[in-house]
Amino acid sequence: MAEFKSVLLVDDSATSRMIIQRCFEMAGIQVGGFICAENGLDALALLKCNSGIDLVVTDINMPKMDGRMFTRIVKGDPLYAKLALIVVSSIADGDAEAELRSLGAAAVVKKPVSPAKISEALGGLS
Amino acid sequence: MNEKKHSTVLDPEKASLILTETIPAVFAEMTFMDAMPVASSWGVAESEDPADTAAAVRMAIDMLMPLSCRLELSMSSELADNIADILYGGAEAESFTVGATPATIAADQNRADSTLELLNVLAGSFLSAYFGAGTPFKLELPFFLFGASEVSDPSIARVEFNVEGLPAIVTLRSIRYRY
Repeated sequence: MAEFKSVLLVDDSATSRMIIQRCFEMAGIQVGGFICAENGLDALALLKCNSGIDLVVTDINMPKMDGRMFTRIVKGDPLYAKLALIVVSSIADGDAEAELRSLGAAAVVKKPVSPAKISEALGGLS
Repeated sequence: MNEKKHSTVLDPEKASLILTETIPAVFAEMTFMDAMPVASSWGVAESEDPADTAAAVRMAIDMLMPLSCRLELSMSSELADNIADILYGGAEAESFTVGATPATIAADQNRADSTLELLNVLAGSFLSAYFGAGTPFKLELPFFLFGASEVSDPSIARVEFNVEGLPAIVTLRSIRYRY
């Protein structure tokens, strides 16, 4: 079963962050702690000061900095080359998924999220 | 990108059918609630303003791509409370009262956030089902509607649901931007 020291949840909706967190628990995924950000900009700041983060779960549609830009910046930075990042969004399918994967997202999960979807996405992490 | 070509207008009958199918699925997956469609209409003038019925909570999300339209969700306060109750747990989900304490403010935020997130997921599911995978989508952030002036644009499709005994109305509108 997957295990993470620290997971950064990036979503402007507190409800969505809570649901994703609950899905991790229900899927039996061990997480040392969750850190939350409401947009990509805040998430970048949190990444810089939390070196223990080993997984990022981000939404796309957010104010200030959306998930596409956030993913592009993070995965374009050699410092975070090994950091696993998955996208969870209501509009992530088809070409959007292909685009996000080309930016470096390891998996793309379509909302509504479920424990099974999270397990499947994390199962693909190398 | 293998971009698909789409008609410049939404087909009201197809939109109504897809709303009827996707909304119950999202309600079930997100809130574990049964949403039964009870009436749908398209291509006709609205017989009544949803705000006059049980719709005390009204919100909308604008879809900008592949077509410009707005999805509105109206529901009773009781249903909004129930959704927050299910998602956050009953202890935190108290109804808003004047002179709110921190606990009731948190409950009100939970209710607002959970209904807006529900609408966000509804819109994504509708777009996926209507246009199919492989279509680039662009959604704005969901927001609350206040006042009848916000509902002047024509309705494309409108579906009423019975969500475990409480009403919810989903309306798809064309939108005219006013700059």
